[in-house]
Amino acid sequence: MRRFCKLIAQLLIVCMVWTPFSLRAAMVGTDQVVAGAQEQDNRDKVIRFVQRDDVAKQLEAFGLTSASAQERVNAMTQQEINQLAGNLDTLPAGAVDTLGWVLIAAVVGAVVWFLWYRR
Amino acid sequence: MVQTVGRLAAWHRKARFTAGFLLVGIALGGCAGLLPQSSALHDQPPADLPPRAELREVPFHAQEEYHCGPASLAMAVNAAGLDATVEELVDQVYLPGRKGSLQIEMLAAARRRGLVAYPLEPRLTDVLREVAAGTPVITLENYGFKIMPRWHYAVVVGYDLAAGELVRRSGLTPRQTMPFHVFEYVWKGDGHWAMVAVPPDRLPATASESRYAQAVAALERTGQVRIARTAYETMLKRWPSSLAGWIGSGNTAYALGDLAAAESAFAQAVQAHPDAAAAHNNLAHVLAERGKIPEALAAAERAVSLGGPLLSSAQATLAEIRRKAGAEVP
Repeated sequence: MRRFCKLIAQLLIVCMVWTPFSLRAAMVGTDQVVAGAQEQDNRDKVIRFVQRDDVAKQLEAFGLTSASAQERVNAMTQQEINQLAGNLDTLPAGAVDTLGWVLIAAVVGAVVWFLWYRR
Repeated sequence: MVQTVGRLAAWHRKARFTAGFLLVGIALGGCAGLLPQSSALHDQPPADLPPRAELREVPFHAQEEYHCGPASLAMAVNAAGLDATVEELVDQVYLPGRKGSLQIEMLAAARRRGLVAYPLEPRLTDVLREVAAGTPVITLENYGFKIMPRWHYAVVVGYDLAAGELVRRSGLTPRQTMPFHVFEYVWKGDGHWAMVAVPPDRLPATASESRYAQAVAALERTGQVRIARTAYETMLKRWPSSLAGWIGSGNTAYALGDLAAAESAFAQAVQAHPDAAAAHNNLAHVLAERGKIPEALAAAERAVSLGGPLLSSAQATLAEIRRKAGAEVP
């Protein structure tokens, strides 16, 4: 009898945990509506679906700790993850170092000069 | 011998003169076409734009080596009324292997602070409009060349149409003025990228419905449901019949367990957009969960009959509600 009760309790727990998921399964997400359902459908088919863990590993390779990489990936949407994957070394990364400031002086100087000349 | 050297020198001078002439010619000819936005702004500034603005209260964070991303973000976050230090943000946006910060992470980090991260349209006038409305703008600029870029983030906090210049907080300089032309030149590096970070109860001055909805859906998707709910409400004040606004409002209410609010939001969505299958589908779900089975069945059937790309979701919803109805009525 006790074993039977335990079994029933376990079954109930599984059902309770499962219920919200099964109810939400066919709920349409806002981002699906935003992107236009049609477009979203196509995108899912054409663009490869990149796993969060893969991008987290790529971030780690660029000097982040595992925990920090995971946290940062969690703050991104799937679309952003797809954009980032494999492009970490080529996407613009804002930062200017000493050589940068030398170039800035040169480029800005040149532009200002041209503009001044134009007047 | 002397004659030859003299002739050579004369030729050299002539060549140098010709080259210089060509270079200046190209530069001058190219200017108006190269920098169309600032030329247009100079020739015909929009009548509704205040002649000048400056957000003096935006704090300044000096950039340590390579940290212009976190420093710029800290200024924007502070201006939105929240605490943030450069050090905290370094952990959230700075990528050591690139000695810099990526745009996607700048947006994501602003969201982590509970702000709506909104990328602006690539228009100089939009940058000015945001500043005029009291929001500082983070911009990505390229000070190098296409093949050897030097990317840099700065914060635009003011402008003066008559003087033809912007006021920026950049690097180690708390207040730097820059002519519109120069700014447009360095700003076009990555397609005129700019962003604002605003609290969820305030719409960016230049927000469009679809772009703002996308920014808020990103908040919702990354777990900032409560913030997203407020932002959807803000959105509905400006665009009262927005489908994304009502669906988002309903979905966030649902996620927070407020079924009554979710039902009323989906009902509004259905009323404003009778042909939106997503609205009928989600309404059916909430109705079924609130025990209103006949109404839920009707909504689900309507979603299925509308068809479209969401058909499989709608069919699943209908099947589930029928099961539920069958269980209740033996």
